[in-house]
Amino acid sequence: MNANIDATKQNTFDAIVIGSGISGGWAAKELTEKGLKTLVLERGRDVKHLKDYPTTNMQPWEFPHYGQMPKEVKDANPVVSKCYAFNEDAAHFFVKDQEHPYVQDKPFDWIRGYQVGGKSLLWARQTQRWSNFDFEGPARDGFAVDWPIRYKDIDPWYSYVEKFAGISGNKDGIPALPDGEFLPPMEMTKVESYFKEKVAENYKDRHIIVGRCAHITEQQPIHAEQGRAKCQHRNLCQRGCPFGGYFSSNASTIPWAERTGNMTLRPNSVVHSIIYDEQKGRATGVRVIDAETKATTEYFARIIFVNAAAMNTNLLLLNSTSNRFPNGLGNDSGVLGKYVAFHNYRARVSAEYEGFADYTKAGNRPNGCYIPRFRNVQKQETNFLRGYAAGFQAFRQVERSFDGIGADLKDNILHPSLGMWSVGSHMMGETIPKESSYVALDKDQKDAWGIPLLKISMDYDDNDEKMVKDYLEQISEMYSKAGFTNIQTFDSHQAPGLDIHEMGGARMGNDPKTSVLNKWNQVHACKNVFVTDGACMTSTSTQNPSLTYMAFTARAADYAVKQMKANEL
Amino acid sequence: MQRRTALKQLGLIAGAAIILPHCTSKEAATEATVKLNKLQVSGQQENLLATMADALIPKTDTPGAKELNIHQFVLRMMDDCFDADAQKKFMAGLTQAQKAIVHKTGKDAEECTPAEWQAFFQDIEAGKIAAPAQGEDNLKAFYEPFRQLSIRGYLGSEYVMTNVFGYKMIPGKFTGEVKIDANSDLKTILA
Repeated sequence: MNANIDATKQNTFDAIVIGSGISGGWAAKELTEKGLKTLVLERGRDVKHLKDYPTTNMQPWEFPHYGQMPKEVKDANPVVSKCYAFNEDAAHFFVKDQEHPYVQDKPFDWIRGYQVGGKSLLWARQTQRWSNFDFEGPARDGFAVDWPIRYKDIDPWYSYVEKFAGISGNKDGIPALPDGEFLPPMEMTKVESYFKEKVAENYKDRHIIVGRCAHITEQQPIHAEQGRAKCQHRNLCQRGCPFGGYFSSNASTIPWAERTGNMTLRPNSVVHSIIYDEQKGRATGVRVIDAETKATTEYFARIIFVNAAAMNTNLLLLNSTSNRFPNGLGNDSGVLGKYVAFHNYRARVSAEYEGFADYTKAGNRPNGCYIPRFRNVQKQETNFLRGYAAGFQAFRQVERSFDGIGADLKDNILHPSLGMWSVGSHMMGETIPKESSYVALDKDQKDAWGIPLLKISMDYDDNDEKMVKDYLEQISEMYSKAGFTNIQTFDSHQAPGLDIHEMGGARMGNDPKTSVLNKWNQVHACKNVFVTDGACMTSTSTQNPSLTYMAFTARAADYAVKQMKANEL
Repeated sequence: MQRRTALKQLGLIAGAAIILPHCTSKEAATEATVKLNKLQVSGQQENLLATMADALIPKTDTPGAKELNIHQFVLRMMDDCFDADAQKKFMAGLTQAQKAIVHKTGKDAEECTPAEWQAFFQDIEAGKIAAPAQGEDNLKAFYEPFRQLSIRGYLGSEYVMTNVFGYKMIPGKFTGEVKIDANSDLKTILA
């Protein structure tokens, strides 16, 4: 009896954070900084900054296959092998297909990173703010439900997280893409700047800007305090950065939380479910299965932050059943798991440019240029809803002849020259969350820890097809007006998922009958549970979402602690 | 991939340093020095491949393929990154190449000069080597990946990346606009 009480006491914290990726790391930082004894649960292994980046200082020739994954690995892992970053230098940070199966009701390439830091080690680091046009979207265009917040609610929290994370960018003054707290922008190449000018000449509402990205381009005291230095432009980010040049949980929020002395980090902790106490009318803790020993332990806390990454957060809530919530925690509305969506990354347009043959670049830029959404921004003007942002870049081609044998061949391959400019763009389209797009627990199959497999069912629709067509036409037209030649359009028809921007399922909304979370990311019907990762997203807009998750998390943590102090939680 | 494992596989750790056995005796059945999982390659075949790679990319004022162990990269890639059919044809094609150059020159393959190998490669590229009287013709199924992987291995080698192309893992910065002229050196244009 005493032993039980001791065990319970030992396993009781002020707060529990489920997940240590980009949003979980922020929850850990904010809650521990505010004095809460916080248990951070991570299903994967620990990855310590610097110490656990085994490839970070390897030269390209030190990789046995110069980076290429062996065929056996590719064959055994057809899903993750589709990801552009699944190469010899970073493969150890990706979930292998067979280790963590899931059910594809419709094709979905689910790319995951199960370790401390999650996918924050691997992300593409683009950090564009949402604007009010994005938050007003569902209400204006009549889909999903109205966002319970507007830009003004999150604006200060964007600033808050940007200053700490370190966001490089230019104040471009574009209504659809609000400016933030920027470190100096990265430079554009000659042809990128030229395209920017040409687009400005030809279109009053289209802009080419350098990407806003989570790289320290000028170290501020707050970055020095984190032990992070200026980005050295290695462009090897996916290995983990020895300089802490880009933002990751591992380099930034997790060690910060650790230094408060208030964090207990428990890797290899698979959260099975959230425990709901009917008498108390609140969640009291979580059931954890040790990833290695499979032993079950319960941990308790006054508040719980769910940051397991969008799809797994849905899985966890759906699997947290009780008499009060037979269909999943907080699922009175029946919408939990539904209205999931993603970003449409199917289309690309490439071209060439003959001018500026006397210019090139020097060094690497771990960033690209960005074309903010210009379709249907102020009002509906096309035959499809919403719009797309796009990536853009222009670099000189490197040409070399592979002709000859012996000394001739050698002479050819060792003397490359610069060719024409190679120009490329990729689409980032908003997709509409629909009731028919859902994730659910598989009725029969379970994983190695006895947790039901997640069944995923989402697809493109007619709106997406029209948007792809428009993107290809509009970018081609913009290229033509800039005098680019050899314009080629591509539609990869890739399945949803490879964008790695899956969102929704536990959406925010004003009405508990049609949404899972309120405007503070709090479960409507279970107020001491907060969901601040991608699962909370009511709509997707076009911007890379991580920055918004960070801001939501910091905002929700601030609210949660104030509520606790006021004895409201 | 653990750094140490990777280095080991490349033979960059002292204990695993690669010293090519200069054994040309046909009788001495030696094992390949590079550790392979699927391909069955003898020491003689490895030496032969080294000779061929060095004829394809010879030493001039810069090292040739053999000195940089490019044949080992070729074997490692063929072993790990190609399917069983391609591997089978590659090995069969290697044997076929060996026989064909003997037929062409009347000398043992080991004794052929770089110039003889180069002339032989030219014949292969021109389609002048007759298919064997019996069995499959795998010469191109060997030669094409051999050529491609040798070039890739050579261009990606430490020597070439650092000494010829000036690769820097830590550029420190990015400059968007760099003016160049016709006389700009490689290290400038590839920076």
